[in-house]
Amino acid sequence: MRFNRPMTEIGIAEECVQNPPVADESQMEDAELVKLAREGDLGAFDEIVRRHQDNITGLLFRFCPHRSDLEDLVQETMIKAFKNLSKWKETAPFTSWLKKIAVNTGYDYFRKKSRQPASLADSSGEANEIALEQLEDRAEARRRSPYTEEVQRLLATLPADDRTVLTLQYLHDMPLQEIADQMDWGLSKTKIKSFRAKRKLKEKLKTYGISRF
Amino acid sequence: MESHDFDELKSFEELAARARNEKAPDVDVRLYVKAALTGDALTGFEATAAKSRREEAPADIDVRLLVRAALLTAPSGENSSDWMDVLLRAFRLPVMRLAMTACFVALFIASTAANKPPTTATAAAADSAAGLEDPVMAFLVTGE
Repeated sequence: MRFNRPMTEIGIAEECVQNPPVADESQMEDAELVKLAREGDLGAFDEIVRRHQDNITGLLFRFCPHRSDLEDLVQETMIKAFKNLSKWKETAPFTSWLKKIAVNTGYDYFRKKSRQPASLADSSGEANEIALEQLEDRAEARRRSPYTEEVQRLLATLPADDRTVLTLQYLHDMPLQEIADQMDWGLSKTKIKSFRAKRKLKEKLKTYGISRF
Repeated sequence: MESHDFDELKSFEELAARARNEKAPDVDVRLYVKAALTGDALTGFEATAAKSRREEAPADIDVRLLVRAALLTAPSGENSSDWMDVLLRAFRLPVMRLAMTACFVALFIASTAANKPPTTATAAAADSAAGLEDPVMAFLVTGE
């Protein structure tokens, strides 16, 4: 009987029978992983997240040094990326595309923050809990990364556009051309925005002062 | 004036340069992303648990002052309600119920005896507790 013969006899190693060979996702290129993820392979997307989350965290950390918000921003970036995988064109590096999503997520975060200034007027239990968590986060960020925390505290008084430009320019050391690409602005517009943002920042610093470290 | 502005901005730039050297914390969002994409509540719970494991318990908790403040500000009514609670709970015990019933019966008998008009034979003896043969009855009637 053909089927009663052991597999080893017909030339198949035992370990191959127990663990059939699967494509090693960690060895795949981004493009291959994206292709699989587009077809609904969550394992492939998990590998994309594992591969890029440190870079994205590093980028968004400049926007928000508070850990729990930072985790939310990284997560949001990845989910946006998954939902828009079909829009990525292989002509551009996947990393740049993902970075652009992250910058936009950071920009949206600044916009949200400027629309909802911290308020103690809302005294519901949930709001108090959130406020307490934010305070703890802020204290932890001040201890771990005091300079980033201080820079963002100073920039927080500016509108979201200005805050984003200055964050990318000062904290990422990003050239204006790259900022223009990331924000989908023209270079001239980016230069004007940067100039105006610096002027506003000067005024704020003159009014409120700056901590001497 | 211009140089003052410049100095402020320069300080900011120095601050930003130092901030650039700060490192982001280790963040692993894979479980969260998986939970969000699959809508799996258990994975979401696992993600939260993983996050919780990274959190450190505060090392310096001292609740002595809080406890003292709570004890000082507790309304006195709370204590009395506790006593009432104890009494009510005790009355639910059969032995206590029997004892209380016996007490009420004794009081009833005592009050009946007290309302009875004194006879000539006992009038003289009624002045003292010794006139009552039963010492319990004497105590209940006269309180002595």
